[in-house]
Amino acid sequence: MNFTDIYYLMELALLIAIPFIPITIGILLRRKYSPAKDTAHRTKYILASILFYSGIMALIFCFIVVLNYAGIL
Amino acid sequence: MKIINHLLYALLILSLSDSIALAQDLVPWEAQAYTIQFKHFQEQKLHSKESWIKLNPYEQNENLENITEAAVTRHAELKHYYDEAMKKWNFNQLQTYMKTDKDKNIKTVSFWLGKEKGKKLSLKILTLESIMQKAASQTLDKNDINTLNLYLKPEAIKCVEMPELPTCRNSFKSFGISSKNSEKKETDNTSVLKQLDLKSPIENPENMGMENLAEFYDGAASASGEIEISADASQENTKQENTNLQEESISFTKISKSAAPKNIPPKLNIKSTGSQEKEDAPFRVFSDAYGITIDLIDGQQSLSFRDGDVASAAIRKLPNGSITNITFYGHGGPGSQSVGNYFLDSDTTASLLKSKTAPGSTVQFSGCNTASIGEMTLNPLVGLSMGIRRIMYFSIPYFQERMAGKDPDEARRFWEGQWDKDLAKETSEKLPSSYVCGYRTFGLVPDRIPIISSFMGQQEATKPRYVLGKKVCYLNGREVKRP
Repeated sequence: MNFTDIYYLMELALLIAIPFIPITIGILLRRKYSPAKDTAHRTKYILASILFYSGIMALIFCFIVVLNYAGIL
Repeated sequence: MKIINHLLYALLILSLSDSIALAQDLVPWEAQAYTIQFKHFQEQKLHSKESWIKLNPYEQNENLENITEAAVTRHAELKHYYDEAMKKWNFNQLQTYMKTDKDKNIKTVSFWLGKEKGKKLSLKILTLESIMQKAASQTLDKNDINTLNLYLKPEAIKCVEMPELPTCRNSFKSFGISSKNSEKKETDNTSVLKQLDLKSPIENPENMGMENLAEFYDGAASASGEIEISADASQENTKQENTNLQEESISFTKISKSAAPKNIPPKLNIKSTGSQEKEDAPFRVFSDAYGITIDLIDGQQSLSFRDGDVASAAIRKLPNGSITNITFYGHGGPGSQSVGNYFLDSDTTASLLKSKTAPGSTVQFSGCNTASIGEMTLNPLVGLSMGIRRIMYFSIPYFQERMAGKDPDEARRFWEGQWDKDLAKETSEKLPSSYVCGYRTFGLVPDRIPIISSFMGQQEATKPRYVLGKKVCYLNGREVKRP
């Protein structure tokens, strides 16, 4: 393994991580603002939920694209 | 004295006959006044341009005179053949014709009667072949039946739909016993259909400077316009009574060539999809949609093909500049696309469509990643699609090759050049004056969703109704707005 391989491994890891980033941030924020104390908290909780579900949707999208690539869809 | 007189007369006659010969002009090769005679020379390989110009005027005229009767007969014979071929056929005639060498017959008709008639005959054959091929594997829809109605008699259409019918299996017997007259007539017509093939001496198109049928239409070397023969009898009578095939009296004073057609004449609509299929197609979970759909210049005709090889053969037979829209629907990747088992890249597409597309026509690659990713975007779905493309077409093959022991720089250089290839742009550079469109992203087609595709009647669609993806179009290699 040389520098080129490490560079492309890192790139691959980053690309795979893309849909998981909003999911992770969403989970953390949802936990933080879980029992909504006031309107500001509730808004932050909703934003965290949007992030979380966007990540889920992104994962589903990736799954669909892979199925499409495989010729199933 | 008498002897001297006789000698003088003899000398006078000799000098007169000689002066007649000298007065005859040289006839140029393929002179319009002798079009059919020259066609006959070429067909029978009696003369070429080189051998013709070596003849003196007397020999030329003698040759023309000698060939006239045969040429007229041959021309009349072909006219009769064409008239019969363009009538509605019964199943017997259809079978007979399909067994003959169709390409050769079409070429012969084009050569003698003009490209327009050749194209009409070719279109009929092409249409019937496509529909019969479809009928062998699936049920025909309303459009197919309407198209068949243009070319076949009702009983023949029934046989194309259901060849297993006993009347169709014994078609050669059953079609002949309706009445004595019809038996005779149909036998005659069938023999006419067979006749041309058997007698046609154009066995090798290369002799006419044409490699194949496509080339024949693209640019025949010899005059190929239709021969129009006037009823003016001021010149030589053509001994028409011997032929018994042609009704009008013919002479060769006024011969002109008709212009090539701009449109393909009869209405045509062959589709693999439609409401009827929705009802008849067997239920399947996964979609099997792919195909090639071609819209032709008159705005009415639409040809759909599942088999790419059949489609490419059909395209080659189409007149130049006749395609206004063509959609390749199937799985795509950077730089290439498949339509079933048929694969396309920019070179094959350009060579297939070159000169066949009309100016301003659209070539649509309805497949994933058939264009490059383009500029950066804020659309998260486009971003995700780009990421997945990079993984699938760079990262995975790169690491596969690395594990196989390939040099990292070599693998990197190769796959960096591959993963973002732009099929639409490359094709556009090779197909001037045509819009070439592709998708920068993975394209998702709602009609392909399992189970739903079957309910929607899109199980074997040859064209997507909607594609969720980022589309881009190019004209002469430059990105332009979608047409």
